[in-house]
Formats: sequence, C-alpha cells, structure tokens
Amino acid sequence: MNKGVLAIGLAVTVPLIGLLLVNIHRDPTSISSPLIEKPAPDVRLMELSGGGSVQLSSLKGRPVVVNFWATWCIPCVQEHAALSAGARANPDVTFLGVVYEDTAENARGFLAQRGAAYSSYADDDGKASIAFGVYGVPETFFIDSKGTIVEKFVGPLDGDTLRQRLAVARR
Amino acid sequence: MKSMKSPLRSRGRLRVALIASLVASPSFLRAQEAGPSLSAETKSILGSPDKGSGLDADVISVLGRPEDAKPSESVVNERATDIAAKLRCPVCQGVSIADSPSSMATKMRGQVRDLVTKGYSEEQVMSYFERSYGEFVRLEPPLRGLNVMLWILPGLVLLGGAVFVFRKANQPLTATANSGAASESGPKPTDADPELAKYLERIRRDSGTSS
Repeated sequence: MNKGVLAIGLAVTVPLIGLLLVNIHRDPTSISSPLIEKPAPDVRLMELSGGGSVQLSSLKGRPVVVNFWATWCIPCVQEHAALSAGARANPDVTFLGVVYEDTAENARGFLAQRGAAYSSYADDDGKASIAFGVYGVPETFFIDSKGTIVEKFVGPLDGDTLRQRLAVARR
Repeated sequence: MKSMKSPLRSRGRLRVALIASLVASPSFLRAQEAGPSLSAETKSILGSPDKGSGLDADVISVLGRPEDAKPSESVVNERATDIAAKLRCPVCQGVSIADSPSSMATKMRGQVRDLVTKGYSEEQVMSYFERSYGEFVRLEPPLRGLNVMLWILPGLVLLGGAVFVFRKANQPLTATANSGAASESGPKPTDADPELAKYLERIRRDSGTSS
C-alpha cells in the first residue's frame, strides 16, 4: 500500500467521521431559527373578525406565545386542546394564534366549533409569517417579557412541552 | 365623427375628476379612518391610518428608513424580479421564489416588491429575509466565513487532480514497468523476450519485412 494513497484516504475520511460524530445527536427535523435570542419581529396582526389589530411590540411586559396554525393542518388541530388548556392555566402569559395560508372564515368556523381560549389573527399578506421565518405549520414561538424570542417549537405541542417552554419564557 | 368623440371624452374626464375629488375629500378620508367598519383585507391593502408613511414597524426596526428615493415602476419591476431569483423558497426544494408557484413564494415576492417600491436596496431586501430565515434563504451562499471553502475547494481539488494526472503522464514507462508487477500480467510484444523474438523473426521473414 502506497503511503500517499493512505494519506489521501485518511484526509478524506477522518473529517467526514468527525462531522458525523459532532452531529449524530442533532435532530434532523428541527430547523434552527436565526431569531432565537433576537427581538421578536414587530408585526401588526389583524383580528379575524376584521375589526382591530394588535402590534406585537405592544405586548411587551408579559411572556407571549405565538402559534402559527391552519385548519387544514392535522397536527395544528391535535395541539389545539393543549394550547387552549395552557392559555387557561397561565393567565400571566399572552397566547395568540396566527392563521397561516388559510382564510379567516375557515379559522373562525374552526374556533367557533372547538372553542378559543385566546385570540387568533389573520396574516393575509403573509408578512408576519415571513418576518417570523415560518416554514410550515404548526410552529410556535416563545417570547419573554422583554420581547426576545427564547424558543421556537416545530410540530404539535403537548401539555408537558408547553410547560417546559413556558418556564424558559418566564426566566 | 371627430366632433362627436370629443364631448364624450370630456364627459369621461369629468367623471374621473368627480371620483378623484370625492376620494380626496376630507369626508371620504374620515370614513376610511373610522376603521372598524373596514375588513382586515381592505385595511391591509390601504395600510393603517396611524402609519402615514405606509412603512412597516418591523421593516423599520430591521432596516431603518430607506435611503434610496422611491424608484420608478420599471426599475421596481426589474429589481424585484432580480431579487426574487436570488431568494430561496422556504417551502420548496431548492427553487427560488421567482420560480415557485406556491402561495408562500407569491407572498414573499409581494414583500420583495413592497420593500423595493419603498426604496430599499437589493442588499437590504436580502438581509431582511436573512434575519428571519438565515443564510439559507440566499440561493447563492455569500463569500464569507466557512462558505469560502465552498468556492475554493472545487478549484483546489481540480488543480490537485490535474497535477496528479500531469505527473503520471510524464513518468517514464520503464519506471512503471519495473515498479509494478501488475502491469506485466497482460500479453505484451517485446523484442527483449527471447521466446517471442523467435516467432517475431519468423513473421518478419514470411511477410518480407525483414531487414
């Protein structure tokens, strides 16, 4: 065996194995957000009824949970009960839903049927979804009382996960 | 016919002027600002009354106020198309938002156009999207940090390969023949082999090529 060939082989395989070892515990389904530890986008959200609107920065002073959802999204329907229960159990936290790629009419119908413990808002021009860097639904952002995003959760939330993330947002 | 056309046209103009004066009248503006009666969609198109500049609070907090003057329609079209081709569609597979028919890409194109219309530069628009989606949103990775490797590594590998091939090609044949036994496994006509030389001599004699 030629020493040169061995050296080239090692130079190629050793970094690859290193890369594998470093990333082996990483969850391939989690998409890291560049917004973590950054100020939450100051988006304006329109009420589903078409009435008023809310500027996200006006909610500073309390932890905020922003949940992007749609009626066509099965995991969103699954997590709805956990989020509603979470909103009732944590009156010190502001929960708000943002309807992603769906009509206000569909969302209103769904909430009328399933009950709503917190308000959901429309995002017809997609500016809130773009500002939050949303890839799909459900995605939930946990914002601390200073308006900093502390956590992003992709996929359906359950009660335990919600409690854990809320503890981080309350820090 | 010409004389018939002009009064019609002027009546049309009068109607346009009437509508314009109605729209510009204070009572119409007040009705707009009354707010609650308008749908969210109308509001999102018109912009909220308290945002006189039409600028988005989030955009200002990220990019500041636009430095460039508002560009003309043709410049907006050209620049927005150009930028859309450089932004990755986050809900697709390796496609720019210019090439994607998805609703999210359409909304992103709308945001690009909106920012360009307000006078933000290409780099500012790119950085607005990068703030939310990370460097991933740029279809072409920028030349900085570890990315530099992406640009120079292929060149280095190609150069290394070329050097290797060039050196191999210039190596004297005898050296390869002596160093590796594997190269001699196949049949190889050579005058040095006394066994073969006997037959070779006979062929030359029969065919009349013998010297």
